[in-house]
Amino acid sequence: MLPIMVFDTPEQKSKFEEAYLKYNKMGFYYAREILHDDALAEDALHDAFLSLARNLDKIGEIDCNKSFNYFVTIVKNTAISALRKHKRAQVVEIDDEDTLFQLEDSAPGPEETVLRQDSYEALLAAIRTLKPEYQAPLLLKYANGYTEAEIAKALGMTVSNVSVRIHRAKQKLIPMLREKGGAGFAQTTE
Amino acid sequence: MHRPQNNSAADFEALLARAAGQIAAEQAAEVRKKYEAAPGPEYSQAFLASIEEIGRDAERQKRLLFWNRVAKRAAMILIVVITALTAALSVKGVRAQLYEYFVTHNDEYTQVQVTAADEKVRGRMISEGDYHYEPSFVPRGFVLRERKEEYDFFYHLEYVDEKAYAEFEQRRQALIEKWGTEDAIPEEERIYYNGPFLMFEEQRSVEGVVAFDTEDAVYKELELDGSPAYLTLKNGRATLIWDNGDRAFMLFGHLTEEEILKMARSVARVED
Repeated sequence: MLPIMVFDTPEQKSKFEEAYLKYNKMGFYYAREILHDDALAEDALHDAFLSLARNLDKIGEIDCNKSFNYFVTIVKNTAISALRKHKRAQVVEIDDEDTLFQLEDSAPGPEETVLRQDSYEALLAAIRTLKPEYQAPLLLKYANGYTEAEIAKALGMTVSNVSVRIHRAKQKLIPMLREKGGAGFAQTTE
Repeated sequence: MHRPQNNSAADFEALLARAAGQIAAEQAAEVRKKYEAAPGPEYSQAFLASIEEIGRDAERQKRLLFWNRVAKRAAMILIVVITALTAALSVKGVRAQLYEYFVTHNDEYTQVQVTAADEKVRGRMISEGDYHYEPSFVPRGFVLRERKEEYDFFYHLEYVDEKAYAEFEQRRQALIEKWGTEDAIPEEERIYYNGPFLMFEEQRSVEGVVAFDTEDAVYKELELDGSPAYLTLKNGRATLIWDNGDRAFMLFGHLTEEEILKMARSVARVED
């Protein structure tokens, strides 16, 4: 049974109801796949729908793949955040998994790096290896075309956090591309 | 140095957009493939109620000015992060070592915008390293309740009044016993800790805007550790922001002026 919801306009209500009907099941199972717990999966799903409700005007047709892509990215992010929170007790421990990848070289910004077309596969592989907290804002910006303010709202972060994470995600990609792309990359210098 | 002809930041951005689109689509397609035909889950009543609440909450949230860390303590809001300036009465900029503070005084509040002094690093991490700062002085009666590090950006300590928190925990446990689980507690019966608290926060990527409620409050601009410090006192609560040339800090909670300054001066570096 669809819960009764109250929105400002009938169109908003209808859009949210449609999203809930179409996405809730897949979102729940995806969250549960990550969290291995029904209650935590419900919490993550709730947070994902809350984010969706707050950004309804930014989302296109519910039926289109792009909107579903957005929802999946949000569910993944909320589930991973919940997993981290749940794993930690009162004292936060920074274990090896959470240690940030340290660049061994002082890579220049992406703007200074040459990229050739045959690097596309390498770029795909590199993005796949990004940790979720870096991948999610990057995907929302580049796949969904969201502004950093919109991403901050969707992920419950500050705009500066989003900005820093996207910048760092791109900084991480370049050395990975060099490793995987080999001679396909060159670096410009002054 | 030779510049190859097919390079550009725009090329990278375009490729990134294409790759990100493909990855997002792949992840969503995988979810759809796995779960589209799955049976509908049996949701708990608490979850269904929470979805219903979203509709009522959505518009309310849009109108709230909130800072996500403080929003849960709505009754104690002193600090509000805002993203748009309203009409200002006066603006003053003060340059400090690593941080710049722009102070705007309005009728009911004073806004302090903290930003990196070096324009080139604005929006980026200012201070990195395997260490954090924390106060060694904590007023009597307060105990540490939560220590949280949000990736690299914030280091956050929350203290509560030991006695008040113990009483709150007793009432909360009684409710959990009554309803079985915390999630099963109906909203109208839920309780939240509203007793005395203190929060210390260290920020490593500073692009924040802090607004002090200065209506009928004491507001002071001081110096601490060689940097400007901004203090406000109202209704038994104090708020202080400052930096030490490495990272920026904020303290707020049920403190007197003397206590908050003593706590701030006791902040020292701790290796992780």
